[in-house]
Amino acid sequence: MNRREFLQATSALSLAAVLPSTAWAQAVFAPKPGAWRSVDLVTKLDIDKPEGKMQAWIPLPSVNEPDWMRPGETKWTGNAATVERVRDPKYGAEMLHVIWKDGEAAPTIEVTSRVAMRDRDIDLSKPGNAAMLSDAERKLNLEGTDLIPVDGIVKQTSDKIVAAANARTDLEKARAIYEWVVENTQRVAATRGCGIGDVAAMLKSGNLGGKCADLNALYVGLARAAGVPARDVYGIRVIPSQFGYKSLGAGSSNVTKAQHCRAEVYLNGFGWVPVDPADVRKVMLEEPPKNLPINDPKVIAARKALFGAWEGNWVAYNTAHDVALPGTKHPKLGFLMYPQAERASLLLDCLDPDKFRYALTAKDATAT
Amino acid sequence: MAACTAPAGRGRISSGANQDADVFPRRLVAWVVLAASVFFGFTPCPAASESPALRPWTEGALPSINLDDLHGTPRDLQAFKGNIVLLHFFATWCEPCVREITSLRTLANIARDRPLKIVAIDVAEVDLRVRAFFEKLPVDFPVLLDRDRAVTRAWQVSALPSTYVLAPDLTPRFAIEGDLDWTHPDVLAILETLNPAKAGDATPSAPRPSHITAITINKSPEETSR
Repeated sequence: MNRREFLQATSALSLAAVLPSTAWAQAVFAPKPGAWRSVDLVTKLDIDKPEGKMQAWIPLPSVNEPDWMRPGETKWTGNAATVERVRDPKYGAEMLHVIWKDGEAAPTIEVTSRVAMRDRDIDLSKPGNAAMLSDAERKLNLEGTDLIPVDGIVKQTSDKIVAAANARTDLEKARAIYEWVVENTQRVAATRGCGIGDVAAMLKSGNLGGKCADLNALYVGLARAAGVPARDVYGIRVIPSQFGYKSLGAGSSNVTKAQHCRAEVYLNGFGWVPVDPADVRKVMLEEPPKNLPINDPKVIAARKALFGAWEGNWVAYNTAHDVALPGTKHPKLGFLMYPQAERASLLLDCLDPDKFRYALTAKDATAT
Repeated sequence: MAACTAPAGRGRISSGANQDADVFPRRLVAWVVLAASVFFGFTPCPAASESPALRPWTEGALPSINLDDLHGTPRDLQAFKGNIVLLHFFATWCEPCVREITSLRTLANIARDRPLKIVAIDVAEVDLRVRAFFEKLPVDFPVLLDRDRAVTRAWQVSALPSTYVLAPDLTPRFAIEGDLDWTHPDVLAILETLNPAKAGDATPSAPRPSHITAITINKSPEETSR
C-alpha cells in the first residue's frame, strides 16, 4: 500500500466510523417495469376574491401509453355553470374548462383523476421492433416551438455537442446531448415553479441554470436540432421514490408543488425512450446531504438510469407546447402543467397556489 | 428558468468595434463624470469590471410600441419623445433583472425632472404576477406588459434583461444584454451624450469633446410642474 492509497483508505475508515451504515449502502436507482400502481390525483381549485367573469382550465392526465401510463376516469364536483372536457388539437393535451356564472360568490371545483402507472426501462443494448413514427409525428417532434427554436444558437450548440462526441447514430447523439446537459446545466433552487423553458435565451446568455422545464426543454431542443425527435412530457410526482431518493418523489400526499417535466427521445427500433437529465441535477442539488458532487454514487446511479428509464411514481399530463386556453384572449402558454384560472379577465398567477387558490393531492388507489 | 445573464461584473461600456474603450477620451470621461456628478448629484462608483457591455446600436430603427401598462392603460412609446429613453426588457423571475430594477430606481431618482425616462417592459408574465412584484418593489416609471412577446421579438430581444437606450427622437442608440449599473459615471456620461439640448451634436460612435461642453440636461417641457 503506497502513501496515497493509505490516506484514501484511512479517510474512508474515519468517515465510515461517523456516518450511518445506510450512507454507505450501494446507491440503487433502477426502475424496471413491474407492478402497476394507481393514484387518485385530486385538484381542488377555488377562485379567491371572486369578481367578473371567472373560468379555469385544469390539466388532465392525457398521455395514454399501454406500457406505462393508463389514465382512468375523471370526475368532478363543484358549483360551475359549465364544465367541458377539451382537447388541444395539435398535441392532444386535455383539460377541464370550467366556467362560473358572473357573481358566483365562492367559485369552486374539485377534479379527481384515476391514473395507473409503472416504471419504464428500455434496453438500449439492442434495438427492438418498436413502431416507427409516422411522418406527421416525426415532423411534430422535430419542429421548433415558441420557446424551443431548433435553429440559430440551438442548432449551433447541438452541432458542437454531436461533433465533439463524434456521435453518428441517433442513439449516440441522444446520449451525447444527455451527458452534455447533465454536465453543463445547474438546478437553481430559486427558480419559480419549474422554470420557463426559454432555450435560446439560456444558450445565448450562457446561464444554463433552472429547473425541469428549462433543463429538459434544453435537452429536447438540442435533440430536435440534431434531427432526433424528442418531446417534453409535463406531469407531476405523486408517490415517493421506491429507491429512497427523496428528491425524486412526492414528499407527501400534498403534491401542490410537485409538478415535474420529463423528456423522451425517439430512437428507431427502441421507440420513445425516457430521459431526465434535469433529475440528475436535482439529485445533485437536493438529495441529502445535498450539493452532491457529480461522482457521488447516488448521482452516478441516477445518471446511469435516467437515460432510458423512469420511475413510475409520476403522472404525465401531456406533451404540449404553445397551448391556447379556450375562451380567453390570453396568449398561448408555453406549456400546460399547472391549473390555470381567470378572474375579471385576468389570468391568476399559477405559481402562487396559495393566493390562487389551488391544491393537489395524490391518494394511493392501488388496492381499490 | 433562468434565461437571464448573470454577469460576473457590471457596467462595462463598449463603444464600437473601432473605438472600444476610447470612445470617450480618458480626460473627457473624467471631465464628464465630474460635471455629471455635479449635475446628477451622484457619487462616483469604483471602476467597472467585466461585461455585459453597452454597445452602439447600428441595426436601424425598431417598430413602434403600444402596450398596456400595469393598470391596463394603453401606452404609446411616442409619448416619451423628446426624452432619452431607457427601454428595459425584464421578467420578475429573472434574478439579474430584479437586481437591475433597483439600479433603475436609483437612476429614476437621479434623473427626476430631467428629460430621461425609463420604460420597463415585462416579458410574457401574467398581469397579476407583475403587479404583485411591483407592489413589493414600487418604481417611479411605467411598466408595460408584453403579454405575447410580440414586442420583445420585434425588438430582437433574446435574453433578459435587455435594455435599449433611445435618443430623444426614439432612435435606438445603445443596447445591452445583461444587467448594468445605470448609476455608474461612465454610463451616465454615455447617456449625457444623448442630451436633447445637444441632440444633433452627439453621436454614439464619435462624440467629440466639444459635445459635452454643456452637461446640464434641461428639464423636459411637460415636467416643469413636477
